[in-house]
Amino acid sequence: MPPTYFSDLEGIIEFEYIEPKTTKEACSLRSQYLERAKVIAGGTKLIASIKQREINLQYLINLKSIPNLEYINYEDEEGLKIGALTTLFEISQSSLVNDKAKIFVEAVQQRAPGINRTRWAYYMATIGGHLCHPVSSADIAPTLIILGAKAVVEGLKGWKTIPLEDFFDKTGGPTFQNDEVLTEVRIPKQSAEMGLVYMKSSSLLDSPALNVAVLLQLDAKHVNIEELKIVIGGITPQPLEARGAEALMKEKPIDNDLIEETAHAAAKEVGEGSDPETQERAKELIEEAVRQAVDRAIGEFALGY
Amino acid sequence: MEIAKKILKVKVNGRPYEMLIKPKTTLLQLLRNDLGLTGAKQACMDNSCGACTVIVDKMAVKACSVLALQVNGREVTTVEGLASRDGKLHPLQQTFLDFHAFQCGFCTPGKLMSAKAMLDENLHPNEEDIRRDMEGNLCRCTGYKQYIDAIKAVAQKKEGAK
Repeated sequence: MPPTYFSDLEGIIEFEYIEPKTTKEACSLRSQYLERAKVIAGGTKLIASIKQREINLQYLINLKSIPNLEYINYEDEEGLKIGALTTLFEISQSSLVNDKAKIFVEAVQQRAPGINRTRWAYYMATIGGHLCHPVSSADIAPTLIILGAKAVVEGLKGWKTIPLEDFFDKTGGPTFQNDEVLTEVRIPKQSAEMGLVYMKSSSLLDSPALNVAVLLQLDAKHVNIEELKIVIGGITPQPLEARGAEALMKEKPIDNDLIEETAHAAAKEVGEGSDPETQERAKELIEEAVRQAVDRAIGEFALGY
Repeated sequence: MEIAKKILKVKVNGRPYEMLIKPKTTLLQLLRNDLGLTGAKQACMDNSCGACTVIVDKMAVKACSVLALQVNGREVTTVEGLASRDGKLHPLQQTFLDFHAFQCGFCTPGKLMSAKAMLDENLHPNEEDIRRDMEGNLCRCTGYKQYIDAIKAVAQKKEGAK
């Protein structure tokens, strides 16, 4: 049956609904049913995909039945810990996240246009679900990557942490195995002296919405750039870090031409294979974001580069 | 394969229900077909129009795109539960009437529920807040100005009453 509007779930085949009580149980269900099972958290993307007949399933595993996966904690040593089932609404309202990782809240609040900006998705969507879905992960993952966030993944054999930059495969989906479940996102404590910027452009006709997250840290004398991270989402399904372009600016003093050159190189690096117009848009966005990051890193010494 | 029905316990407009349902039943189907509450409207069914908006606990959700089992153990409020039991309209309903904030009225139940969730959560919304938060509720008659004015008026009245 082709995808139709005005359609409910009536036309699709029945599926079994399973509510595991522990993450171990969820992992064993996933490994047992493999492709036949889908995992639901908030369901904002999944229900739409089922309706559009993009996925077929025989088993639906509701992670919300597992207790203690919705929390936001902070410890000085390990930083922010956010449970995978915490909703984007709770994150954006949390004074802890606003205080410790404001840039992440900015990204959450500028979610993809369309359904993601409605109150419905805001309340239902979870951080875990968002990161495990190729389209929505592009929105929030770049900020998490520049903050050095890690994903905590639990499996049948135990748990492990995966740096967010290694969390996505080429399709934009998570790299973990079929017997694993994402349970937590950790954001380490940040240095106060960093310039963090998140910027997003809206989509234009066939061109995708692009977003870029930049982290820039100056040395103690406020002269040379000590650390720079530029991560772009929206060009490819997975977020990309422009490592080559970052190297151009590191250990060098702030310079107007260098910012332009770096933005150009970054857009070329991550935009390889995409059309020139997208690359140009990416370049403009990156350049603006790097300039703002410089301003924020210099803080009150801002010279208006 | 015989699919087992699941037990759903839910409170709708203050009234508790316990029933056996198919896992693929959406919240909208449950409300309209099983409980006879037709205030939430069936329209786009792909979560873009907002005509089916209801409140789950304190959250405005689009009932067409939520499984009924996802609200197991929660409390649902539909437009039918907005007025008080003696028939007195909710301030939002009354102000929508006073401001002629609807034309054909099809989208109104969804708008009322979105607006209620917003006002319950944010007591001082400015026009920008209202426009952003009501973005998920479309009106094909394009009567947008009146209901934004109506919501603003309710918000101001609430603020004055504090």
